[in-house]
Amino acid sequence: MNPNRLNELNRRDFLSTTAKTCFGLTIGGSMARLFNDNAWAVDPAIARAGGGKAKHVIYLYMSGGMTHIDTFDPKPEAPSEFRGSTKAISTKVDGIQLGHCLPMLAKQMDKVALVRSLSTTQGAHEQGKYLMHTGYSPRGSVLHPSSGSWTAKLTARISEDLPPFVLIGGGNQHPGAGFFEPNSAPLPIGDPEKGLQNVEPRDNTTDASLKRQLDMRLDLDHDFDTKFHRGQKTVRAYNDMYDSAIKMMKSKDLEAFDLSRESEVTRNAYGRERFSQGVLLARRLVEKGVRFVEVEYGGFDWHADNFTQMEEKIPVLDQALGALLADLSAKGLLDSTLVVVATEFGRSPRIASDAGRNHYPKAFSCLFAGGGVKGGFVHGKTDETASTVVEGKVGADDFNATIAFALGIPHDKVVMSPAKRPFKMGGKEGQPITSLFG
Amino acid sequence: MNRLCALIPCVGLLTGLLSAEPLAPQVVKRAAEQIDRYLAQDYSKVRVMPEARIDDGAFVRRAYLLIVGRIPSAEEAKAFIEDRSMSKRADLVDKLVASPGYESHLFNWAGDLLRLKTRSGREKHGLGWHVWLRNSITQDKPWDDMVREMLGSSGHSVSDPAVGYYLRDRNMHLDNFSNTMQVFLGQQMGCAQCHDHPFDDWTQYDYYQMAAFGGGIQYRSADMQAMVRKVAVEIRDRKNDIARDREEPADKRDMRGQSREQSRERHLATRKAERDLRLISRYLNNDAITDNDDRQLLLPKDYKYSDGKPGEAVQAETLFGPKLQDVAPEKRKEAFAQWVSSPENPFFTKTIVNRMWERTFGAPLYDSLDDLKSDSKSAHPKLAAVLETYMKECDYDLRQFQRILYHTQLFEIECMANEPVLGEPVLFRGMVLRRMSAEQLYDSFLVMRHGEIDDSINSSFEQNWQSHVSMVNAVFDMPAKELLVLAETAEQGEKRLRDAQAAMRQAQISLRDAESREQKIEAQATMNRARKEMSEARAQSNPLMSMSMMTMETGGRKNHGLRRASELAAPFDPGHMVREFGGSDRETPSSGHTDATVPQVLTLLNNWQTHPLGNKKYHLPKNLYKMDSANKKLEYLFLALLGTKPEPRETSKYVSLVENYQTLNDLATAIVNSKRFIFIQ
Repeated sequence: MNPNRLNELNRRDFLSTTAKTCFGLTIGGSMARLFNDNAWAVDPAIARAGGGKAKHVIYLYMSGGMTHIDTFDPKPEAPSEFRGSTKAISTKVDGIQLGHCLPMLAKQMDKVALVRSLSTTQGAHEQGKYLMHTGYSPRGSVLHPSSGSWTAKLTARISEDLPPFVLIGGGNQHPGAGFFEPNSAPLPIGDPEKGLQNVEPRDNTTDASLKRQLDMRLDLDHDFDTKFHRGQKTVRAYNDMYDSAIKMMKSKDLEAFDLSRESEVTRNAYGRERFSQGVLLARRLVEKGVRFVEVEYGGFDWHADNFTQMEEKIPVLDQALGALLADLSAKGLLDSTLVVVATEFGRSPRIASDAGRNHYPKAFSCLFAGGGVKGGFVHGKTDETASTVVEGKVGADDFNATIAFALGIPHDKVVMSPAKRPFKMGGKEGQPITSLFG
Repeated sequence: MNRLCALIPCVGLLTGLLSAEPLAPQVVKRAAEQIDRYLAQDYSKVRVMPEARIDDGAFVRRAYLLIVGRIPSAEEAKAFIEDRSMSKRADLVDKLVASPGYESHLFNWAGDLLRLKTRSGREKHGLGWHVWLRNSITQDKPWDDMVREMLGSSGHSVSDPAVGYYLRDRNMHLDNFSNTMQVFLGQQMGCAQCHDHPFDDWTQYDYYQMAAFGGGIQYRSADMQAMVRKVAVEIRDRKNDIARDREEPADKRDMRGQSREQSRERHLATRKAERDLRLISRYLNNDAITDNDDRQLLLPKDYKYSDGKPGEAVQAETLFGPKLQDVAPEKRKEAFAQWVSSPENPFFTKTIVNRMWERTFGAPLYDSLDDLKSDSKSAHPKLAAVLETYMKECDYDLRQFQRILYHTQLFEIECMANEPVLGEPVLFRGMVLRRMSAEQLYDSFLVMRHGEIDDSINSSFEQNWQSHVSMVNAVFDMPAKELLVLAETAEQGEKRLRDAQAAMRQAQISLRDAESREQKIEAQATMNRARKEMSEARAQSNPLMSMSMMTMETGGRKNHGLRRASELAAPFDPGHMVREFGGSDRETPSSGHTDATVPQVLTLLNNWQTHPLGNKKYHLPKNLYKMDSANKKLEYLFLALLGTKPEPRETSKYVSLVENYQTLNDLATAIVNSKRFIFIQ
């Protein structure tokens, strides 16, 4: 291709997007929504099978490997070298018990489905996190997209201004958009209390100034883009990010990021930990049209003092999750919002030295609620010490396929990587756990 | 020297080298030319041409960013561009490589690779390891020695601070081992920690055999145990003094009864000493590892393969490279450290060469950085082999090795238009385009404010660490009687702290329920008192802090001046600018990234911290305003931000903007937001 022509195309390409979004030439607002909704609809086959009710996902990720036998899969009859000091408590639903650190969740068991039969073979944090987030094991030749980025790519945008995928408190290992283009990447929020920072122009910057800055920016990069725009994803990424950033600066929906607009009562109801406030922020973002919000809660890697740490940490999850379910339900959003609690693996049921539990991918649990999921339901079963899955075994690919199913995305829809290899949101062979729905 | 002599005949390039001294310029030159020759051969084989040579402006910016981790100041860039010397590029490289800026930049790299965390809560091993690593880099400690010292470390962190490498992963020796294999040998063994994998080279048993070299590691302090024994003796002596006063006639006691009584007494005294020293132990016991020669690594209880039984002890054995087996228990860790870092290890040199190449040119020499095989592909196999001999002949001096790489023609040619394809080896027709790392960006903003910054070293880490070391050693050396006093003081502090916390909670309630203004003021005053009491009590409850108050040994005056990213505690907090731009969270090896995000854009566009003219006192605006013409002002701005002078068409376009504050502002902001600024060409 003639380099001059290429250059011209590139330049027009991003000039138009920036101009469109920045200076009022946009097809924003309701028009855009109309347009987008036509572009994407729930797969009818999935709707017939009971899925596709969720419009949003709030994905709570317990980083470090949350103990299953002390939380979602308690074994009160197990010998004490497995059980430790954990007691099982009954819940609103007969026959389903939870660990004693989850009393508020127990009250809302009728809204919740547990999966007690996850099993994978990835027992190291990095690989396990990758697998749970992408449905694939890490490979040297490709970066797989995370479930949030799959969702961003395969669904229509609800809000023209806000990004489809927000990641609150995420670690550096998050796979993000993988091989997808950067517009499917999560918007990271470090501290929910601070929300999205730097959205106000500097106080000496007028609209005319801002326009001049952005015009000159493109002009200064003319030669740079000519050479690198086409062949370098990170370069294209910055062009995309400027578009999104400018859009957001101008957006009325920015207040979605501002927790101070919530009452003290609500904020206290979730709890004042950073994670709890992140969960509240997730609810606000979902209300304003963000498709997928992931909130990460770190520090579950209890090789020592499992039971002391549990008493401090699980109640934080319990309060935030309990408040979220109640809040979504009161606002009538629970049916359209899938809530997920996941982690990379469970912990060894037999208590190890220093009252710790080690990594245990062979059997662990996760939770689904809302978005068309049956409440008061348990899928799968482990043996009497929560060590082996004896019924309804599912893997990380099935877990991701289930999220797709709830959203009405075909879990086996093939998207080709840049190297022309096929990938699916439900992993290579994942099948949705359809028993959770309907 | 032996190693060197053995290799000279086959390569013969680095002759005249003495280890730990800079290489002679002609040696560096010849080695760099050799690299370029290999590259040229590989280009002609596949009939491609290298990219064009970059101009001085691009070179000076690249050299500063890649060698010392920051952009050049306008003065530095101008001096270089206007220098008429023929050897100015080589001279600049040598100047920068020898400067403290190189150390700062390499320390960020090493800290990210090794997951260095400066802060470790109540424990201090992170600080010790930080200081050790920083000093090792400053002193040009060879990489193999650094690795050997970390892997062979033992005991308390105050006597062997490299032990921070193990303490980083307390109670997680297996995870630590997986990272060791990846970081130093480029081997992915993480999966085999839990299971055999059909596509991987390693079985779970293999994994355990290799990990078994660390099977004796226990995360506790032998010095602390000795202290407990010392105090237990004191406790028994005190008791015996009392007992002797009402001693019964000797013939009434039979020998067996006495010894049973004694051992019970000894046991009770030890338990009591442990209880009494609890608060001292809290601060000292966790900063050490102990090698227990009687301990062995056991297979997991759910081990499911036929080559071993669940819970069975595993014999340590290496599975590639020089065979290591039947090692005496007390030598296991040291032997493994030697084996990993040996030039005979087939992956040790290869891995560090691959990492240094990636650090210099933007992509690994092989198809992967962290997953090397014996048949890993490279587009430059001959070059890869000769680089290993260079590394050995440099005696693993990273500074000298990189110096050779910086002197190549490759370091002077443009970036390639296309990004590398994941999993495929790169044909280096040019450099790989990279965004500045978070630390490079952070430090570059410091240059705008302060000009040259390479000499600003933060000595407070070193001072704090030294005072901690002397304090801990003083506690270990204390007579038992004094230890009991110190422990008792701490216990009182702990009790004061609990009382103060209760008072605080009470005051909070009073404040909440306060109705009148007076009540409010009263409650607030109570809270302030409680807060003060809490901080005093907290100091008292920490035996090391209360010691330091007794001896007035504080960490020296803190210098709150300018600090580069490498001079601050790692990792940066989430939300800090460095983290926002992808700075490592120090959780997994090399987790720093350069992915674009919306918050980064908002920071560059709207935050005052990134505004190059944000404050008139800053180096950049102060000197820019001194320029006596619009042309010179524009030139200064371009030099300061892009390391180059504006091209004539840029001058004609922008020169009218610089005399007006508003438009100058807009231009400066536009440049900082351009990709020419955040990318390294």
